Amino acid sequence: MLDIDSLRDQAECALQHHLDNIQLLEEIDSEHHEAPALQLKNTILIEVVKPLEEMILMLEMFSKMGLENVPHSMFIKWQIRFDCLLSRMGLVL
Amino acid sequence: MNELLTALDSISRELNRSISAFSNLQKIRALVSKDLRPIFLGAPGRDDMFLLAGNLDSLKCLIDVEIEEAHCLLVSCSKARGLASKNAHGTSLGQRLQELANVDAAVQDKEIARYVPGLAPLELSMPALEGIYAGLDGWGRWTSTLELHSSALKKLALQFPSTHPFSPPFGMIVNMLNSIFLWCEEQRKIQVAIEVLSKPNNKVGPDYGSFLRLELLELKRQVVRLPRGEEE
Repeated sequence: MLDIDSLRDQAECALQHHLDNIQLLEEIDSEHHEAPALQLKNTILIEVVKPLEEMILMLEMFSKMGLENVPHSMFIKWQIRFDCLLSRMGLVL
Repeated sequence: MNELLTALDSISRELNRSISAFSNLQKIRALVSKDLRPIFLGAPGRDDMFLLAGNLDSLKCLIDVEIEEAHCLLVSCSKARGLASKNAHGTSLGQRLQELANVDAAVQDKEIARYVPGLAPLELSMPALEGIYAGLDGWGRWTSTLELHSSALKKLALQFPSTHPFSPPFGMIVNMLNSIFLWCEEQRKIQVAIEVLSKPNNKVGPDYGSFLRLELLELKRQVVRLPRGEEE
């Protein structure tokens, strides 16, 4: 069974970590590194931040529905996505 | 002679009880069939629904066969009683008693672990099938109906020996009811999910409107209209 609270905690921690990193990237003012920093920031936003925000949003929806009311097809689809996302970040093996 | 008449009386009582039990079983089967009719007609055609409808029809025929057999045995019993009371011992009485031998053996055993045509299992109890869906509507009503019928028929099925001709259709009916229950339950959940995703959410930023809209579209694609006459 999906542990919504635990998954949300993991996702929020990971999100905060990446937002802090983005903050650090934004503080780089060296002309030489401005372009790569911007590119890295965009990659993190698209590949990590957005999926994590979607994950948190969907967990909130699951919470509102009640886990026993989440359609099976939706549950399977999102469980796989959560696992993929968290394992890609090294949060689960 | 008195002993024979007593035995014939108890056979007659058991056969009458069996006819009454089979008739009640037929009523339960008819009620299940009637309750599920809208879903057979209104929901998209699924294999389990065809199988369920077919097995409910098969069960009806098998119950009728058992009632017919019990009536035939009752006639034999009545004729044997007539012959015995007139002390007419002969081939005719012997033949009648031969026909009743299996029923008598089962009645004497006080339990039926084997199939005896025309005889319902002793102490066959019929489950109650009403008053469950008050206050429910939509797919929730269907899941409750299916759950109730599945559990009632399962209780009934367990009272018949596995060699009884009712056992295969009973098994199939219970399995198909469970399968349709899961499908209706998924529809009920989709209904809930659509309601939640459709509600305005202040926390959701503009970027996520389209994300939720896609999810909602995906759910709406899977949803099936309630069977005719069940729309709110």
